[in-house]
Amino acid sequence: MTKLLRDIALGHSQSIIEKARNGDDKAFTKLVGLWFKKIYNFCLKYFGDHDMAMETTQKTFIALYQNLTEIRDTERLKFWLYKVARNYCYEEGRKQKKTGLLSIFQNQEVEQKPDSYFHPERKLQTMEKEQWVSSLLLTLPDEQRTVIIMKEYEDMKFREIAEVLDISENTVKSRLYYGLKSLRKQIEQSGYAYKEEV
Amino acid sequence: MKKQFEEHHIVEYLYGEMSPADKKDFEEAMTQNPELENEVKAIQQVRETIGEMPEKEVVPPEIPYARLAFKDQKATQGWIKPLLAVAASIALLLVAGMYAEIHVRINDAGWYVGFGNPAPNDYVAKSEVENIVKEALQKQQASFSQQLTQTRDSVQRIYAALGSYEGVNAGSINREIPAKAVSENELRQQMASMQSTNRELLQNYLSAVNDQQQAYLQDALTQFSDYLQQQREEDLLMIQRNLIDLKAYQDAQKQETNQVLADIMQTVNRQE
Repeated sequence: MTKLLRDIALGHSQSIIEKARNGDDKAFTKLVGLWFKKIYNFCLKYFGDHDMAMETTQKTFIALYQNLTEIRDTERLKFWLYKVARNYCYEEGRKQKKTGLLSIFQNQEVEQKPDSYFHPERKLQTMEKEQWVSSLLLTLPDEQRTVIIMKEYEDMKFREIAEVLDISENTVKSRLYYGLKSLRKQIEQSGYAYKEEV
Repeated sequence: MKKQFEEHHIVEYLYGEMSPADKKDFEEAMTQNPELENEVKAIQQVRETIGEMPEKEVVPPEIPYARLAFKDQKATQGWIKPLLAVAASIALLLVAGMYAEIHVRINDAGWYVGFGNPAPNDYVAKSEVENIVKEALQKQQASFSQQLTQTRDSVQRIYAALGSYEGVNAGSINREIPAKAVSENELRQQMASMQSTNRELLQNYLSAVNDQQQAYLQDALTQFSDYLQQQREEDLLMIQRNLIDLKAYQDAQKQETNQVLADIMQTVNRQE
């Protein structure tokens, strides 16, 4: 049933793209409604900041409006949106690094507590889990972070990620592997105990 | 980890993108290689830890995407906006003036705007007054000269009729008849006639000026009425556009709701 709904949504998306390309602004608004949440969440995980994610997402859709003629089908739209969003994320990230704003998050150490103090439940009480994971992601280099977000949260195939990032599939897998290993190291340093939680 | 399985095999296995044959080999290798198995488990635990980040709900902001297409056109018509702003300010002033009893007076000396009861004076420019006086004097002088000539003629005719002044020629009459020779009654009649003529001239002039001012005011009111009509049409157009945008936003919201429902159903199916 869910798959049916998804298929209907995608089929509808295809017809919306056609209408939007023909200058139907209402269709374009619908297109934004379909994809805005996905792109926003991608950017949110990249930055860990609502305002920056919102700004980058809006830029992405403004760019989409101006380049609708490039979009032929739903799959192309998906690749295009992620590619442009990723580029804007990199660009915005570089700007923020220059102004020193993003570095506040990126250079911060994941919170460490003495063993006697640490406990997963207390960790959850004292720190929002999502913020903690977000801060973990921000410790990664841009390339590894992007791949992890696309694979882990956007549920993209290796082939799709490779196409969006314009790299080989093996490079995608390699970045994913080393990114996850790096996260593992960060998590261990923070004192997070998997088995206790499980 | 054995040599035949590298890092990319681990992620392929973990994310379910390994062929069945390779998967079987990989699982066999894990049973024989605890180091590989631990590595896989550790990375899987990382995935489970970071995987707890559900998508945030967000409402797409209402961005005027359509207007971006007209950006260049707007740039060339950049003067319209300040012009409309000025027009709107004037309209606002006039609407406020209706309640504040605003008065606008226009003459050669400039524009006057005031609130409350207007000052009773009707301003006449200095040059206008000078012209009026000059014109009146010229006409009075001409009229006086004409009447004086007529008077001389009539006196001459009287002397000629009486016949008591023989030998006196017309030239001597001209020289010897002073203004005093005219009777007081005649002079009064002449003066009264002159005053009447002057009054008539002045009345005609003021009437013409008044007509001109009325025509000007009527023209200004017509133009203002046209402007208000145009402004009303533009406002209606703007309201219509906003309603269209609102409808589009509602459609987008419906689409968003469908998407949320699809996600919820997908989550439920996964849990099942």
